[in-house]
Amino acid sequence: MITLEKLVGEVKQLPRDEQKRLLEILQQEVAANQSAKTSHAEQMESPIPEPINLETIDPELKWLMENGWILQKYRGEYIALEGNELIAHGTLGEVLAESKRRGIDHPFTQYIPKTEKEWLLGQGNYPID
Amino acid sequence: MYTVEYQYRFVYRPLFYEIDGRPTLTEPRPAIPVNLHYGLLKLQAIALIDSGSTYSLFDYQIGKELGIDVRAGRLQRLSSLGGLVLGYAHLIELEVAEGWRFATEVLFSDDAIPRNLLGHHGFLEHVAVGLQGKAGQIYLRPEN
Repeated sequence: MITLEKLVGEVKQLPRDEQKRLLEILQQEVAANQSAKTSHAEQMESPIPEPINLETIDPELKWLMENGWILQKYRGEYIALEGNELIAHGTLGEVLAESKRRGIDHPFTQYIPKTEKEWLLGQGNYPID
Repeated sequence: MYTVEYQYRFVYRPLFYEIDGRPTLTEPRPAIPVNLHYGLLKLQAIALIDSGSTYSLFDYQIGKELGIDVRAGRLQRLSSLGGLVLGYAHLIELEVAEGWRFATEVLFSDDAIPRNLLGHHGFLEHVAVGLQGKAGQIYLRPEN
């Protein structure tokens, strides 16, 4: 019997390009299922977006999508990326200093929150006193 | 028929976040690069235009890198989708595009946050915004 854990283990052994192909297939499946479940009227008002093509987005975002391990390793830290290279991790000051030392004036930076819920911190804010 | 002319155009971009421990990208969102100026220091940051936010809010560490004594500012308690946030108000200059820079009061968070936000106070009160979600286009002009 196939289990999710076993499947994930086998997927991890696939070459990188086949992993990407699998991701595309799954995204297409999800989009197709959503489309089938949505009524025509709903589709007219809220068209289902195309899955994001990892080959056409910024290389830093592509790198983040392919390196989810950073979510656990660098919680509570900033990371700095340039292209598909991780330049530094630490405080914002530390990652900017290391980037500058390498001649990168405007690296892509992202703070990785300590918990998943914190990704929404600040959004939709309103004063409470 | 109403017509508004805009001076600047940006494109939507996907934002990185996390669902169930997995890396995820949002659909493209109206987020733009802005320069924050304080004294002689300048820092570039990507910020999401968030019409659902009352205040423009930037990460604590950005304020710190600009040399701001963040917690010396006026305290503003905020409720948000991710929970309670403490913000401290400071007057900075916000540069939206080359040659377009204005003084404004924004909040810096008490602790690190993953997304900088351009809300009503600090941004939308100074800027007219047009969004074309389907085409992924953001149009801006100064609102004086």
